[in-house]
Amino acid sequence: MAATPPPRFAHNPFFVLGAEPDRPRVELEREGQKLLGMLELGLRSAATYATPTGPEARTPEAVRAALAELRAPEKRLLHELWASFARAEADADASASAGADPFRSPAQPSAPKSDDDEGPGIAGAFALFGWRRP
Amino acid sequence: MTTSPRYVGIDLGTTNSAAAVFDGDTVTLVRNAQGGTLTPSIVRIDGRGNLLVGSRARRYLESDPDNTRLEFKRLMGTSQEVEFPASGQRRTPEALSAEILKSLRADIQEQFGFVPDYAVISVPALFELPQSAATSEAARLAGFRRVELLQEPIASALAAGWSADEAIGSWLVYDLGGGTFDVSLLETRDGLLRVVGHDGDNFLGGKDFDWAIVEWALGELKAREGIELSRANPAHAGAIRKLKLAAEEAKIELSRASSTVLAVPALVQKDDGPFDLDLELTRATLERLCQPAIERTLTVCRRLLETHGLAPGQLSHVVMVGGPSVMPAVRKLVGEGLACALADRLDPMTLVAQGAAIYAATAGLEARTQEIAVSEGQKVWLQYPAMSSDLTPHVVGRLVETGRSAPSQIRMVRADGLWESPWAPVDDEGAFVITTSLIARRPNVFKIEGRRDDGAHVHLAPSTLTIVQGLTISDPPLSRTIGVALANDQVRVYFERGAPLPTRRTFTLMTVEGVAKGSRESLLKIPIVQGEHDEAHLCRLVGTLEIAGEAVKESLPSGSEIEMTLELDRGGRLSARALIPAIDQVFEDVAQLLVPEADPEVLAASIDAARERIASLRADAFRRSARPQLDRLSSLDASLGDLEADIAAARGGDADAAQKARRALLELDAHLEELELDRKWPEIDEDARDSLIWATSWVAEYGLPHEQRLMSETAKSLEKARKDRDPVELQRQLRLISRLGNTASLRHPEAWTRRFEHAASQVGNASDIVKAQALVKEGREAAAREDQGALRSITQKLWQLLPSDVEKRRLSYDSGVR
Amino acid sequence: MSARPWTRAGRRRSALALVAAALLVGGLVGRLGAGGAIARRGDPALVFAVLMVLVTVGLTLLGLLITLRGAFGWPLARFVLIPLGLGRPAAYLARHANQWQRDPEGGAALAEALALLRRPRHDPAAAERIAALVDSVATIGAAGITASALASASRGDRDGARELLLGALEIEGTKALPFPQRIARAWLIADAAERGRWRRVVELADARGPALPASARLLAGAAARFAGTHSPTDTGLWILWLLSPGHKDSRPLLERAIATPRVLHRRPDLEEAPARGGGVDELGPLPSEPLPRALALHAHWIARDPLHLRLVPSRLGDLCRAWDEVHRSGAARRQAEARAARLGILGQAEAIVERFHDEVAADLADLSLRSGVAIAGLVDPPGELSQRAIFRVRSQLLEGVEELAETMESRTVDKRALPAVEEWRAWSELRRRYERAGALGGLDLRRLMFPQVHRSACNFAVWLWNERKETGIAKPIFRWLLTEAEAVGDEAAIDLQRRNLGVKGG
Ligand SMILES: Nc1ncnc2c1ncn2[C@@H]1O[C@H](COP(=O)(O)OP(=O)(O)OP(=O)(O)O)[C@@H](O)[C@H]1O
Ligand SMILES: [Mg+2]
Repeated sequence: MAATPPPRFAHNPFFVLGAEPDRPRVELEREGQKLLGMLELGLRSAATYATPTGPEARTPEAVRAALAELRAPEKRLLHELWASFARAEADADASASAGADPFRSPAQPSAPKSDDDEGPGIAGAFALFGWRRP
Repeated sequence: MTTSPRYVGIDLGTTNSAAAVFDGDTVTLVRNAQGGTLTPSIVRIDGRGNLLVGSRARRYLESDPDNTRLEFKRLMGTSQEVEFPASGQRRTPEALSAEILKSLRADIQEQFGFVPDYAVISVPALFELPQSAATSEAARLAGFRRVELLQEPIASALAAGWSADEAIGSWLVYDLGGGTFDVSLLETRDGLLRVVGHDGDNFLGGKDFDWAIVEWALGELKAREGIELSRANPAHAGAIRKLKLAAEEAKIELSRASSTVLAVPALVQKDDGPFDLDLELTRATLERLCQPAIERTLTVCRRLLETHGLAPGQLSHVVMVGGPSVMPAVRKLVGEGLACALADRLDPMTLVAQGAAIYAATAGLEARTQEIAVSEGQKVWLQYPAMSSDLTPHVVGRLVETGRSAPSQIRMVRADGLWESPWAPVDDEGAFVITTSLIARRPNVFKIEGRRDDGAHVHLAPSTLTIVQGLTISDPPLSRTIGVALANDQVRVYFERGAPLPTRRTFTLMTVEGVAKGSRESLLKIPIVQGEHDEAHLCRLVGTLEIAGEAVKESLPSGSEIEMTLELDRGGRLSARALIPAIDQVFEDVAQLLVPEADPEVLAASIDAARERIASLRADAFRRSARPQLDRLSSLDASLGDLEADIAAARGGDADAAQKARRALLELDAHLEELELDRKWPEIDEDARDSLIWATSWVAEYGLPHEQRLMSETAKSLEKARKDRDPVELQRQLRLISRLGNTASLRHPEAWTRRFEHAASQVGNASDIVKAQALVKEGREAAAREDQGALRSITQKLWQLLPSDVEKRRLSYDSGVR
Repeated sequence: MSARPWTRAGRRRSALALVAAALLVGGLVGRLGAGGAIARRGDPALVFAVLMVLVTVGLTLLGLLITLRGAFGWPLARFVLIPLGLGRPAAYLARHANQWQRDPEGGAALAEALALLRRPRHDPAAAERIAALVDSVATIGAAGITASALASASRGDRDGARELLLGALEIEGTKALPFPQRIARAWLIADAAERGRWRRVVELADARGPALPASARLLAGAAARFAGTHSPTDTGLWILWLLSPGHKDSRPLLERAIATPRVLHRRPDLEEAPARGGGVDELGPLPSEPLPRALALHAHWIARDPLHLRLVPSRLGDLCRAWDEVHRSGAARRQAEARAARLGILGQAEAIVERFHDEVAADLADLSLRSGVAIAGLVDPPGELSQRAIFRVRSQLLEGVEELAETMESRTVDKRALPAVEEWRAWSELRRRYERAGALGGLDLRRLMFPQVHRSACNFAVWLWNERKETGIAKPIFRWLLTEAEAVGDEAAIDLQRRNLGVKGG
């Protein structure tokens, strides 16, 4: 079966760099260099980045890949489209609590982990038969 | 005062090698013991086992060619060893390359007084992974502790861009070497260099000019002296070799002079003693001889521009690299053909080495690894680009110890005293960020100062740092896509072309078949391929990870998950790792990271096949008078000639030629497949239409209502597939249609009689003819009785004896995953 | 470790284990009873005599057991050795038991597998022995498949186990014994119960087949309560609980079931209950511009488990419609053109937008595939991007099925045989993909897929039947093909499969 599509938001270069989509290239490069330095020094402030689908861990490879993607204008434009959220509104909220995730929707619950669709199961079902749980 | 940094770049060429050292300000070329900046890539081992490198080895090229080896770069990545019969020694290509590198390393020590541990080595843009890995290995053998590889065109571009004045726009690097031609389209914007695209011809270079001269000379010889020499005749090999060396000399001479003589004393033995060749060769003649080859390079350039939507006039300039690009004929034709200026003041022979050295600075690869004494003071870790195109890059720092004595604010002062940063606060992690200001195109030295809350100054270590401002390219991009071949002949792409290195990625694959524990037959292959095609078999196999029945801890059922990770470093070394969660076992050994061997007989056979395919495609294109196809076919046909020459040479033991031919054949194959699909399409389309008509009429007559409805829907989908030219979808719909048609046609009273007759007519192909004939006889009797039931069962039995039309090709390097 | 445990050495080892067990029992009795008392008195002669007697008794018992293993071996294995986790002796006894006469290797494998599940940890050596036993039979039966499945489960491959056990329920022929099918069903019930798939538990328990163990019946009763289907009364539940072993373990289950009110009529489908899952209200206010709006929705749903979408499929419809609107209004195109001019690639804007739209369609298709919700039924009429997504879903489903069918076919043609369990697995996977595709793509897609699947699977089954005598697994394949042929109305196939089943089913 064909591959699942790549995570559009989680790896979007603009989110990785924490930069607006309309920033000139020099600034993006500068930002990337700074982040690479901060990661190399193990600074906490650079360790994660916010995306519309939740925070992600930032790695030097991800930053380098993001920079490389943005260097080609045609690739950049595609990423811009995916990153064109109404950031203005989100920013207003975010500035209230500094450092907050600008994409976090007002009440974002954690995604359900189990695939139960009819209420919780019971933990000891296999034990009833004396069997080890797989 | 700290000593300035040293960055080393090396161009390990097929014909010549060179090295350069960059100190952040200027690039200095390394001179060898003979005083030259070029070291011929030639190694000689004499009868006593003495080893000579470079021009000292070159002297023996004519007198003792068997023990004086050149062009081994083309064998990199193969298991082919090079022989030195006089001493009975054999060396791998990487060992020979290592000798060249050692010699360059010694020259650096001689001239600069240090032995480099780190360096950047350039490789051709089209090098495959095994070749890159072999280059890294050569560097290791030569004593380098760490090297990064950089593609030659990027190196030239970087060097050209470094010395150019604020150029913006698109430009070309035209690199014509001894045997390969590379062209790259670049773009400079905001001081950043970007490789927009790349193209080339692996089988085009200075050598072709030499051969053109040789052919011309042979023609003259025959016309004037009646002496007949042939390249195909092994008895003439010695004379031809001498002639070729003379031709090369004459060619080089003609770059300066307007006329020269092609002189070979005692070329052949005639009846009346030795014959001395003495022919006059003029620049005009040379130009005429070389024109076709130069035209071919221009075609490649235009193709590259076209793919990126550019016209020749839109280029700002062209940078010429490589020996033959010195030739006036080449310069003239390229300038005219691309309608733009050629960059001058750049040395075509050493530009690559210079660029490699500049890149070493970008990558922060200081050649000397010995620690420079650390001065006293509060220790601070600093991160900044050693080289930056940005005029205001950030410097990020972190104090090693935070405490009462630590500074709370940091600032930077440029050494010229004309700029200083504001005091930047140190945060609770001990970190600070300062935005600097650079003077363009110069090394900028900064002093770092710290102060405490009480205003007291704190001495920091290190107390200074240097950033060079200039054109940069930040990461060497991957030149060709790398992925895993899947069982359905698709490629799961891991790293796309242009991806920055180093890189690493993991995907979950599934086994297609089970692997039985302990079974010797059961072997799962995960082929790793490199190339730009969607079909795995058209890409090159660069390694295989094998999971053998003998190695698994437990049997693996089909459909088991494999977490496959590929990792590629800047030295072109690929590592693979397969984790099988179900049995919690890891496999890491990549088998065969080698360019596969090329057997001349196999090559010859494939060339014959290719020729037939071309002929049949051409006949067809002719009939349809399809111009573009015809053009493409004739250029493919033209390449067959070179291929044959290579295969002939391969038969004579020239492994390089064999490799060349193998690669060319793969490329040829890709072209042919494309053309064949193009050609087959009308046929497929026609078949589809016929089946549709056939089935529609049956279904209309004998189909049930729901079948008729389905038929009309399917017909619509079929039309869409035909319109979209989607062969897979078309086949699918066709299967359904013929099924529907069959079902309906079976309701015809005489259906089975007809089927039986059709099957009976093919009895000659049956797997068991005797049995089949018996069945036919039985069937005839049943038909006479009009017993449809018996006829049906007989026909079906008959079908089982006839050859099946299912034909599966296991194309995809036997991949066992999907 | 030898790959074939049933070599002579292996058999001897098992017999030795039995002797040892008997001696142990004898010794234990001696210590607890008379032996202990006598030993305290300290008369060596007497101790010796008593010991001798005990050993003799033990040996006699053992001899008797070996002689009568046909009749009593299996109960001993099932009720004593398997619960103790003693796989090898249990397998030895099963092999010689009358109950397993029709499938001795299968019985032995199943005994080993059941014992393996009783052990605290997975034991690769035991799994190996099970695989070897299953491989050694000429024709695989329900016991063999169940044993392989339980071994997979023990290794941690729960999905694989489930797949195989479902298959074991379908096995036909002389080797379709009740015991393994009963075990298979019990395991599936436990599996479904643990994941909270109550309706599935009820389904499994209601299916025809051999009687279930008491614990499974208790689970089924409780499940009926949770699922809100026709469920037993409180008294009924109490009785089920009393009948099942391990009262302490099952007590919480009983209490939870009784606390759940009994529903006398079926609860409406969850799909129709808009309030459940409550995904909508979490979303907050959406931007009004088409592109930001679609992106906000997209991010919201992509971040969630796609099963969430299954709860409220109309949400997927909203998302598709939002993207259709982006396409219709040309929002992305306008933005891209403006930016492309700034980036100096005006000529490429068109192609980039096209690519963007394709990526959107790919995401939508992926959401549809993972949640199992068909887009076609949600947006009517589908806009451009929805249509692209529908097409993608369809071709991905088709590709998945075709790929497996082709592999199966080429293996049949090349006669590359796999162990019977693996053959069964291969078939199960093809069938599962087909059914999944059918569920998403509807009857049209089934009609499109069927000809190829029919050809590949039929040839495969014929090969299994004629040349490999694997009638137990071939027959369910024919049966499935017949049912499906009837559903898609493929007359020729119906005919063929009828004959296959008629002639061959005898
Ligand atoms: N002055 C000159 N005029 C014309 N041709 C020359 C001149 N100098 C060298 N050449 C030719 O240039 C070729 C070698 O070029 P170069 O040294 O650039 O190749 P290379 O870098 O070793 O090869 P590659 O780039 O393929 O690895 C030889 O064919 C040589 O004959
Ligand atoms: Mg070169």
